[in-house]
Amino acid sequence: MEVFNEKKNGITCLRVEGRLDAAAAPAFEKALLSAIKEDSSKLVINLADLAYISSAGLRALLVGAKEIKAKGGKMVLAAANESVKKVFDISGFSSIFELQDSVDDALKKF
Amino acid sequence: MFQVIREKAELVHLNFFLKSIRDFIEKAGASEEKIFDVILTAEEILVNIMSYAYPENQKGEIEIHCQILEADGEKKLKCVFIDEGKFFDILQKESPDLSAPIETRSVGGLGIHLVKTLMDEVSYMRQVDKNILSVVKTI
Repeated sequence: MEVFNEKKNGITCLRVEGRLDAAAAPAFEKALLSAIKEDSSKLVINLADLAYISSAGLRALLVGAKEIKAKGGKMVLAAANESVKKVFDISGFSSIFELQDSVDDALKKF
Repeated sequence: MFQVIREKAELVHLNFFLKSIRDFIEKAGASEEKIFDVILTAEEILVNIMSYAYPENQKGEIEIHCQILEADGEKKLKCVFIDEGKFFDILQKESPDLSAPIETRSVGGLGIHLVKTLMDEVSYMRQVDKNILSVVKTI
């Protein structure tokens, strides 16, 4: 798993690549919280290159979402593949997170 | 088809466990979608065993028996997870409130919810000093 901090239209887009499993989740959570510390108003998580997510990855996303919400900001998830979307659906994340089909769509939500 | 996978119950071996299961079900001809479901299930079970059956001061191993059962034109994968840790029945863990908003949403319990949803059957038994968790899924 690798995380890339990319800026688009001045908004931080965290692109996560690979597999977000229990072994990778702590590093992802650290990157996520560090990005929120830098800018706690707007954050896009680009999931286009994420092949797999388990509950450990979901927990990291939830920790980030709680943190940014507590600071009055907003986090939008974008471009999840069908498998990742299915995990979001089963876990109820699809209804509590804002999910967009593409990063461009996500950027329009701010 | 039958295979036994055995390794120490440590997170550094998670990839070994998952890769071994993937190789087994790939050989059985499962689709990528089914493989995803099985790998996700296996990770959730393994991580739970590592965290709860074997707490930090207790070391041990996990053995997985993978088997393909064929009947009535259907192919089923059965995986049995065996550990010698303390009593831990994953099925007794409560599922989280899936409709709770982000602010109050609990960060735990999602793993077992995923396992129950993705598998056709999940059963647990404690046999002498072993936890034995079986899952079955049509592939």
